[in-house]
Amino acid sequence: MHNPSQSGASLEISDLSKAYGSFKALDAVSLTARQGEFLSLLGPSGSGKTTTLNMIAGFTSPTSGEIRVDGREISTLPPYRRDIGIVFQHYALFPHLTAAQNIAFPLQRRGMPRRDVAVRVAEALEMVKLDGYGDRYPRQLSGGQQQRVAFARAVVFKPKLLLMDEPLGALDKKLREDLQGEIRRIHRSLGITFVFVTHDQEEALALSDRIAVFNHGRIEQIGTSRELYETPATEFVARFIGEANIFSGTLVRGDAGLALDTPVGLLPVETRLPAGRQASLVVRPERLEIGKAPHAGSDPHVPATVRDVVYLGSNRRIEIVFDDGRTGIIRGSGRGTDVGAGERIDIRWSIADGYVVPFSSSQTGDGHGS
Amino acid sequence: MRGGIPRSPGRIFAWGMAGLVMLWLTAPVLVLLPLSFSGRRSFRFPPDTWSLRWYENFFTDSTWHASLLTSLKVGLLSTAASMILGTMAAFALHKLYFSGKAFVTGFLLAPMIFPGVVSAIAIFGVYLTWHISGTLTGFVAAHTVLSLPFVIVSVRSALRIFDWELEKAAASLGASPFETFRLVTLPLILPGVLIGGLFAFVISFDEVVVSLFLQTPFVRTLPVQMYLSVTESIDPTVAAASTIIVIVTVASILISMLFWQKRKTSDA
Repeated sequence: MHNPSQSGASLEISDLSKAYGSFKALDAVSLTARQGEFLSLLGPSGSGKTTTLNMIAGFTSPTSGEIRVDGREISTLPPYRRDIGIVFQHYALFPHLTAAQNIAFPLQRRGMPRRDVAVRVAEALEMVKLDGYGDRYPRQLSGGQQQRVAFARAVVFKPKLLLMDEPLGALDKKLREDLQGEIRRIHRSLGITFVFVTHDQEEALALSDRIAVFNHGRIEQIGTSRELYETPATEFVARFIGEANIFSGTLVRGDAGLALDTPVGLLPVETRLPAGRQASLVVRPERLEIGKAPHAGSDPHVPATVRDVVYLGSNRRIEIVFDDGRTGIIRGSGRGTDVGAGERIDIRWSIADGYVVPFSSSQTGDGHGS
Repeated sequence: MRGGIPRSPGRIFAWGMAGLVMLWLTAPVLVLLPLSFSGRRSFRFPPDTWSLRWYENFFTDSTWHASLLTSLKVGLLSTAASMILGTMAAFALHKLYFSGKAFVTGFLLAPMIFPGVVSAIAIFGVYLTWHISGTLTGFVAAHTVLSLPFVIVSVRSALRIFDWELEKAAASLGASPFETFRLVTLPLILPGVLIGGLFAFVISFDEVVVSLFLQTPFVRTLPVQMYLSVTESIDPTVAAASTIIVIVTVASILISMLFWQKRKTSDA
């Protein structure tokens, strides 16, 4: 087994930009992946995450900025000199070669003796639990098996950095979850640095050490799953990671402290932002409590109407409509959530469970993000 | 079609029509074949006596078998040249973006639709000043021009269905652009290249008009020799030569079809 700290490379991207004419696909993005880290690039399509990946891989040349792997600038190297493993969304297995020949390909390009190639290919097939499938052609394998072969091929030459471009995007849910587990297992055992591009926030949350959230060619926030969920830097992150109830308004200083003046009422908040600022309050669905009568204490509370209740076994997902017409989500279990569609309720939360982010005009859509 | 036994009147009609068309297409061969075995120096059909003398003549008279050899040489060399050049051209047309690309494409494909006699006169005129008329080089160059479009068309259609992500994958695995071409791209577009090559060979082997302008008594392709023979004398060797041309053409197509079949079954 390798020593994880030695087999992963560090990746530093600074001020990386890509412009197509006047359109900026990537706008001065900087990020770092530590040695052996699992970093996800998460964002909607067209947010710049794939452009970033393509520039690390060498398929796209940056307009400006630097990419360093273990401190070495690689932007001028052609892709075949970068020694970076890549797993493609649609596998990109060579259809005229068997699984074993596909996996042998990078080893042969490096002039490895035939006998060593055979040993390494066998090890790689075993690693992805495909021993005995070496002689099959890609079309004789299922989608999941093909992606395993692609994975084995991308790591068999022991790159220090592995890029994955939505590698599970073409597979069904059950298979995705199985492969997620395997990707985590392989990441731990190989210790290489993984950069994983996805638009699926659940996948990113489940796999990553840290996540970089992309939007409109910029990074909105980089952090652990927990940081992104509990302390989102922007409204976009709050909506993109998990579900959120969002109230927008102006911060005002009242008798009991700072509050957000919103269309549905004055909501007490805790924040370091100054009064007078436009801001949005983010409250996660599982932090909300349901009351049948208006709350009498000092906690923030808002009246709402139940629109729909979805029973999900372990919990319920309750869609609500606030009096200004915007929608919200409550997730919870227990007796408190026993409400029916059309019922008037009063929702409340502890002031510490609300998180204030600066107002951003780039935000689109209303209601909860998913 | 499965079963193959016609039942309904519509099917009987369809099979009847198909049979007629097949007969129409093959009738010339059905006349030529017996003629080549005629025992007399005449084109009377059907022959009243039989012999192999015209085949014997074909392979003993040097004007005949030398022309077959010339045709094979010109055919194979121009096929090789147009396969290489056509593949390169198809790649350039597929991968590069440049102004005037439509014009260049049309220019490259023009020999396919250009009247043969016009091309022939143009090539002949240029060759006279270059002094390569009547040389093997001249023949190969002219036939390459004529067959190039067929290779380009066929390789382009192969490139259209080629998955370009495979080239990225190969690069990420450490293959240089040349290695990528040799090990990934070429093997996968090879059917297109070979079909183009087959077209090129058949076109060259069958070409009369340009070859007629370029020929000399020393360098003469088989179709030209046949034409000259028919205009000068009554010589059933021409029927034997025709049969040989049909055999070479059909054989090259059959061989490639067998090759295909083998590839397909070994792939499955």
